[in-house]
Amino acid sequence: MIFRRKLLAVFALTVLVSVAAVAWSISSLTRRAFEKASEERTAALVAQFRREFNRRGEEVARRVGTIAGSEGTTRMALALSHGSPDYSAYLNEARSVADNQQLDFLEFVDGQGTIISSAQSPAKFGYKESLIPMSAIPKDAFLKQEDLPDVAALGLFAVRELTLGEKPLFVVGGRRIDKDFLASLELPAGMRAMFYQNLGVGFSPLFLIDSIGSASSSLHSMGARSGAWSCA
Amino acid sequence: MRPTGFPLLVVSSLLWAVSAGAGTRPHYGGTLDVQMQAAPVSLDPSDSNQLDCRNLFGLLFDTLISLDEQGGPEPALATSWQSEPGNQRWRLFLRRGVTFQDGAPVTPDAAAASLRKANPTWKVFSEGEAIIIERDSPAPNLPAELTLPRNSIVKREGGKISGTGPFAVSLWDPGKRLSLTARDDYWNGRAFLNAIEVEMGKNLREQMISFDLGKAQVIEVAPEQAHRANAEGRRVDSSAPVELLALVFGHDPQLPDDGRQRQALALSIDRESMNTVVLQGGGEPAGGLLPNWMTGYGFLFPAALNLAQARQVRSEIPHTTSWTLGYDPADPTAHVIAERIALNARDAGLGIQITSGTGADLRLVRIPLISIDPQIALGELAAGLGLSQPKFASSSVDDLYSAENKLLQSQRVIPLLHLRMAYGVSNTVKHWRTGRDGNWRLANVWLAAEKP
Amino acid sequence: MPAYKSGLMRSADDNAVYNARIPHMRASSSRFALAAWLFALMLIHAPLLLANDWRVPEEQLARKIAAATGPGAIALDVVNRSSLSRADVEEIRRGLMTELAALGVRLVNADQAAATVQITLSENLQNYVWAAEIQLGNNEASVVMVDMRRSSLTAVERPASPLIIHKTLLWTDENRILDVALVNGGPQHMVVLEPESVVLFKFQDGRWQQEQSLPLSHSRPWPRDLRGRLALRKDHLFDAYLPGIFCRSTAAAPLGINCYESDDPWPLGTDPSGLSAFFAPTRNLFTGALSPGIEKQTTVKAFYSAALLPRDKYKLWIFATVDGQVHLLDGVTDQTAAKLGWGSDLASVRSGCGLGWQLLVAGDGDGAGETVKAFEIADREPIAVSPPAEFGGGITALWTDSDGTGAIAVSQNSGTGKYEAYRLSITCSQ
Repeated sequence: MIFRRKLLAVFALTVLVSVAAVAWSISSLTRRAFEKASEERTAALVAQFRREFNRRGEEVARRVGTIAGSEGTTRMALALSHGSPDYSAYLNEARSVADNQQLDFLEFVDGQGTIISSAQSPAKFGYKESLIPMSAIPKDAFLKQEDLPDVAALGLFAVRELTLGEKPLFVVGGRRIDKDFLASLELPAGMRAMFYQNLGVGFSPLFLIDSIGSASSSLHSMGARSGAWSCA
Repeated sequence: MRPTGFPLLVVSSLLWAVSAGAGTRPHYGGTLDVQMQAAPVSLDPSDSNQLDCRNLFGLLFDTLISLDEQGGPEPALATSWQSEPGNQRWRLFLRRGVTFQDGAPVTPDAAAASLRKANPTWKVFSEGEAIIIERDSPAPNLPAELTLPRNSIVKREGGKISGTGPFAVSLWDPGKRLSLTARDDYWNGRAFLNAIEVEMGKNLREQMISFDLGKAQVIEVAPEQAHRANAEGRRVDSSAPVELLALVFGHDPQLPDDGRQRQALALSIDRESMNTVVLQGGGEPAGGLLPNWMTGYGFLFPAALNLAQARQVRSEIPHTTSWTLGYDPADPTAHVIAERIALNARDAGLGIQITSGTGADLRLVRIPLISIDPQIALGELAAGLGLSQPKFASSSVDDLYSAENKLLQSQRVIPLLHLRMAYGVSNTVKHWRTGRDGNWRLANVWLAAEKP
Repeated sequence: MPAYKSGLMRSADDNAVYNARIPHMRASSSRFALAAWLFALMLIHAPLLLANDWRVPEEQLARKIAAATGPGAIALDVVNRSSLSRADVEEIRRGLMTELAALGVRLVNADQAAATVQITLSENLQNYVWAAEIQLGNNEASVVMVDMRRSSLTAVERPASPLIIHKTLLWTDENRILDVALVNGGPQHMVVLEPESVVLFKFQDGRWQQEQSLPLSHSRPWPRDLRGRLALRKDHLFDAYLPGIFCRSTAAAPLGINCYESDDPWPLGTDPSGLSAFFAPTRNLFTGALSPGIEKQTTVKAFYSAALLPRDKYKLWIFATVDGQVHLLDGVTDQTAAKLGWGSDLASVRSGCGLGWQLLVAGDGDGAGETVKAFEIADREPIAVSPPAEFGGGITALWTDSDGTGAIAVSQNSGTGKYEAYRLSITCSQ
């Protein structure tokens, strides 16, 4: 009797262990497969985001370059080289040019950082743009916080310089990084991309946006880097 | 004549002839097309909400007294006037032979009835050929008060109104169109124009397009557009600075710190840049409520930016309040000015948030000065800004200065700029004159033939 | 108003003529002498007319300053923001310093002063406004001010052009001046036609003095751009023509005037029996109907003014029509001279120079005012024969004067708004 029981126990244990092992293997394999698939999707999305981000940046840089090379900017630079600019002549210049080039932000800034004309804030003439002077003009676009009259916004900016005579003229232009940018990403079914604009001190759910607008507060906070994003 | 002078005189006669195109007498006839932003639904001048319709009232109605270009009273429907000692009782003698547009004669009774409607607190009645006005306090400036549009002599009967002005209404589509025809029996001489067509509710951009297309001969031009319109070859006529742009608080300062904060804000505003850049020189920086050309002492109220002092005053305030600044969302220039004020305030360490909604702590307002008489202008301005009425002991400049200073010391209002009124006027319009008060003077206008 | 004395006239039984002209007197030289005399008189009186008395406001302001500062040492600065000339400002500064000194206030440099006073000379529409900002130590600055009425300056006669057209200021008035007629005699008289009255002046004590004002009666309101014409007559002083109204002065003393509604034609020349034209009673133009006509030509286009240039064998009439053209009628032909760019007002003058008669034409000037220039029409082409005589505003009336040797020009000064009546005469250039 005792031998039979022992044999049964061993047999049962063997079966149990085998089943457990098989189950664990299958589960592990399946999990790894899903994780791998998820990672691949994430990587694809990240790559897509980076491509889109870079493409946007290149586009912004191209448009700012076009503005810097335009006749209107040349005339402004020439006027600047003759002395202090007449702000009244350029009050609406940046807005008009920005509309033509479909930029959300555009400023003409002199070598001391004084704003000559601003599209996003026309009243800012004569005030200083913190970006300028720059030790080196970045070739590529970059993220920057822009303080608007009623709110702060995140944008992808490019800077170009035009120097006629001794006084340089800087063209600082950009496009908003907002829900429209997220909406331009093609996401797989069931996937949602959100964006946290690190524009304030501490976390604020208002700065968490998705393709529709300000996202609900159901998700975890992001890293400290500006423009950190996540998907779920 | 010496032969040597002859060729020169021939040449000069030709040159003179080419340039001497406008020395012709006025022509009768023609229709003047005018466009304006305001869209009044009533032509009754006693409606105090229609400050921007004064130009229309001047075409349809007369007052008993009018002001000349130096601000002195001159006879209109009243030929003379006198006051009894104390200036509480006035007698005005009515001009004879004047009729309303419906042909009814203007009698002292009718004139008195009109004035009673506009001034319920006055006691106004007729006495023979005269109108008697009795006030409950001395009114030495009554003649100037009678020049206000709301004191026009109007016949109101059966829901219709009729005036004595140079033009009569031939078509009235409230808020949209007004057609006027010249009255042949106008007491001050028939106008040169046959008719005036007024289109209302047109924004400034629409007006400019119509002007360039030749569909309108007189339009309104924003003060910040006047310089550019002129530079682009359009004929623009501007008045003296006659509109006050100011910041108005809803109530008096509740605490001393509130007052100091208002003082700091006033010192931090860069009016010069606002005028030169945002308004393209369409006005003048204002430290006082009334412009210097009207008072002669406007320069005494400081208007220059004093950021150092603004910061000094700000530093004396332990806790400042963040204010909201309301502006008219329909006015893009107001938005820029409000932004600029917020930026200036920030430089002084004050927080201002601009809003296009209602309920703001302070508002950016534009108020026209409706009389070139300084006492009347100040009184009407105070009423428009919701301030207490100034009191004048006499008509001296000292008194006026004291009254204005007192209003400013209430810290309810921070004057920013005095703006000019500007009009685009077609080259075919002759003898156009923008009055000092910014109003049209259309009765003397005539139309020349368009040059091919 | 005293009735006009008939003693100046021959007796009524003698078919008295009011200050009859001496026919054989050389008109041009007497006119020239008068013009020169009046010009000289105007120049003499101009400084007196222009001077302002600053003593009263200086005294008032000094007193107010002294009341604020007390007798002591102040630093004074005077700034001008008004239209006062530099000379006036300097005079005012000196006057203020004198008045302050009289009140015991000493003027010192800023570093030695107990108070600083900045006086600003400003103005508004009606008054000069002088404001003094007084800073006493570290106290808040106080302000005192005075004002005084701005005197309206009489227009000063500018030296007449040395060349051809002489311009002599006759009268200035706030009321519109329609026409002026000078009546010779001792003393000389002047008749001024205004919208509501005819005013008579006598030249006495070196200036024109009003003698009598005769109100005009009319039941209808006057049209805009009102025009009127005076015609001196032999059997009575004058006739006055206004739109729809004719007025005649009484022949006997006391001088009066009778006005009645009339559509009588207005004389276009100086000859009462010459050409006349009908004036639209509710407008500012002649209808074009002529009376009796220029030989067979009895109508012309509606016009603003007309002038006669006598020829040897015919009379050439020039009409400035409302369509901006100039028509030349000689009784046979009607020639149009377009694109001359002339204004609406013409008058002819018999000068004795050149062709004998010149046409005075109003036109635009370089400044705010219009000009009048003389033309001759030798054949049918007008040629300018003088430089322009400038006016301070638009020309509102231009009529040949009663004897044809000059013209009356009325302009509205664009600065003061007053109407200025001039007599224009032409002298031959040397």
